[in-house]
Amino acid sequence: MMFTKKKGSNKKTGLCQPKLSGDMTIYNAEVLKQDLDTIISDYQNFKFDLSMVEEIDTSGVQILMAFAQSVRAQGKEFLIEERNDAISNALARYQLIPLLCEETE
Amino acid sequence: MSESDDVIAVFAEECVELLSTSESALLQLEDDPTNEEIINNLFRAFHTVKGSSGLFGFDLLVSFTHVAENVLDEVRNEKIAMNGDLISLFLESRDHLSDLVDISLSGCTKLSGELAERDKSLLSLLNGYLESNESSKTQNTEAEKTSPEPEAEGARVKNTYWHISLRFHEDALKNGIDPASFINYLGNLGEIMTLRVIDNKLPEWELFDAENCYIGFEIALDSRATKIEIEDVFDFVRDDCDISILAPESQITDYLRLIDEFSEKDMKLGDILVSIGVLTQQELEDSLDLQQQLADDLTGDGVSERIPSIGEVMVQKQVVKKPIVEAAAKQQRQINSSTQSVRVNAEKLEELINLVGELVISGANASLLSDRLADTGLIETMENHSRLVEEIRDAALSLRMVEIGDTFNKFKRVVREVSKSLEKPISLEIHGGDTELDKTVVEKISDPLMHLIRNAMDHGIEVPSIREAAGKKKEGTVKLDAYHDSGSIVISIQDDGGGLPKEKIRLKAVEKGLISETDTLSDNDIYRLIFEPGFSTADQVTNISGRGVGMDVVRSNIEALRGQVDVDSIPGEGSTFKIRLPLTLAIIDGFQVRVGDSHYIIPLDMVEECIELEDKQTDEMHKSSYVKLRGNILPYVRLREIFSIEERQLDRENIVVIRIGDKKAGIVVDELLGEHQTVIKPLGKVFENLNSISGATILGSGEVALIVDVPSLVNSCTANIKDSLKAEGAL
Repeated sequence: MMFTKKKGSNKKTGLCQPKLSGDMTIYNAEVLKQDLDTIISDYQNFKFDLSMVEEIDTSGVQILMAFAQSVRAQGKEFLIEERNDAISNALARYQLIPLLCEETE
Repeated sequence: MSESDDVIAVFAEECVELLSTSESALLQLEDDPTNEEIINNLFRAFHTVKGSSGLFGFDLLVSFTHVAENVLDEVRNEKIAMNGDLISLFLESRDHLSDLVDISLSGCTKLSGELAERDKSLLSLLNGYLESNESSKTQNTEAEKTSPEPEAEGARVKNTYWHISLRFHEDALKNGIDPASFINYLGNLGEIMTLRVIDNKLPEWELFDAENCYIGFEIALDSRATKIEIEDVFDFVRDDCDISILAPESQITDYLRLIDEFSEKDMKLGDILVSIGVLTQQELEDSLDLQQQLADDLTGDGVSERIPSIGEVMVQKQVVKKPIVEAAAKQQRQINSSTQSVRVNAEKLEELINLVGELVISGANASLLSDRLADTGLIETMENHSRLVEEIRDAALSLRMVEIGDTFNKFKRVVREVSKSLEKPISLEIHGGDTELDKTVVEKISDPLMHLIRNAMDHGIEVPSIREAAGKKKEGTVKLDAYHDSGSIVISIQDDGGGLPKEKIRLKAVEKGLISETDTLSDNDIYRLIFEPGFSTADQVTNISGRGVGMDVVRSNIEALRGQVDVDSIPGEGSTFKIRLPLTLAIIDGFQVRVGDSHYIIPLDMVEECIELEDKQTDEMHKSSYVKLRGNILPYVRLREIFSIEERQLDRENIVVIRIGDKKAGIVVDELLGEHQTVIKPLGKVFENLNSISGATILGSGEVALIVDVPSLVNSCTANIKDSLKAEGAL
């Protein structure tokens, strides 16, 4: 699994655009958590690009839910801005698209 | 290989085993169609394939096994009788499933062409069995849906969907459970109308462990499935998940109990159930009022310090129903086998045996050094060490030993089908199925055995009319037997047919120039000619055999395993093929001998005795190729002559008497050096075809010792002695 930040990420503006590729499964859940640890405190607005994720299982969905819940509890913003079929199917199965992929008021 | 590839590989292996189990069960049912245990085994095999396939989303497999499983369920409930036609249908279904497993693993999700046609045809036949039971089954389904257990007090909710509550345990994800698989699988039974993820247990980010499972689910399912079918979806997660399944229009008290059991701190499950349409707001309010009322009844004073949980109230009022999931789980545990085993990668086993081999060699080296030092304490320690290494060796090798019974059982199917296609009733008798041999040997002997069995059926056993005319019973018999003998395993294939056509074989051999018209051969020598390449006396080539490419390949396959094959036949009574194979290809107990400066190993299991030859005997031996041992003739070979080792003045020669089956021979050597744990190292390609050597080993001193190929020496011995005795006029 690869974790990068897109060019638009900027601590001053508070925007973080994490881009994940590869698998978001139980096998690399711990590593993914550690990667997200490095950004959760430094930014205020998280827009995820998950269009290059190949496989996602429940642990991957759970990580997104936990991250979203934590940052929103701090008044920050979270959105999955770009996604592919694998992500859409996984989130649709759990009826989480409105929660994670749509702007909240 | 990624971890998910490993998991898929395990699934593939398990499917192979389950389909093999199914086949065995079906063949056993032919003789015993009402045997409950076998029917249950068969059901469980199909059920497990269905369940595992569902986890991986292999819908083609799920939809096919679902129907097959339903038919088997009716069989085990004695609503459909198992008979020959149904067995044949299930054998075809099993073969079809095997193809479905292969294409599913290749990533295919849709059937086409012949496979699609076959799928449709088999499903139609299977459904045909179900349709005849449909009316009674529908009644049962209705009964289950509306009143699964004795009526209890309380109104019913209007919800027409099944309601499923899932709370996965914290370790579920680590245990390899992915809730998504089950939810997908549930979708095969109906439509998931609503699904709510219960996330109240998700901790703050700092405390969040990404490998734990914190989420649960509330699901409304629109389905015509029965309760048991929905419960079956969660067969594999009962230990990792708390489950509640409520039928449509369940009683309000059931929902109260659900709320009571599945509510967590700060979570208003009742509100959640209302929000997803399971309960109406009115129903929720009515049920909470009922709870209070029941609590009041219990305490009697209308005011309680603590409102008893609905569970407690229910128990008191004897309204509580035993949790269905709990009962099903108990039943599942009872069904499950009690034997424990561990699945081990074959490569790891190979590595272990290699390391044990190196340990044996290194131990031999250490023993040699300790002998030289002549330190009593060290020698004793090394003896103990050698004994322990021997035990480790035997234990490691035994890990690779498998019973040949599984291979034999596969042939039942072959015999059944060939018997049908030849229109000759033939039965297969199996003995010695629990005889163990090395896994690699088992895998490679299967094809030669198959060929010999097919040959016996095609050419050996006569058509029923000829058998009857000969006073034999109509049904022919092929007997498979396996047993240990002198450190080898012997497999015999015997038929009660007409025997090998001796004269035909002889004429064919003359025609092919293998022998001349005037050659006199014994009966056994004639029979052995069938192993020559291109040899077939079949008048017709059939689908089964007769192309003449079989027997020589059978022999070379067996010889590649350091084995031998032989044949005996009695005209009119039948033929017996005997295959002799080494028990293991890795490490053996050897007997070390010296000839000149070279060391050799003779497999200890074949050594019967060792005799020091006196001068007189040695002189006599120089004149002939046999020696008299306690009044019996013992043919011998000199290793010195075979390996062209220069003759030296010796004090003594020794003869190692070896036995293979009923044949005995002697191997003349210079010195007997005693037992030696022998790690067999294969010869390189250059030396592969040497007749007298079957491998090599490394001695403790670092020298190489060659392992004598005893069977081929014995054969050449016995040939020599016949010539010798003929020359002396004894024959």
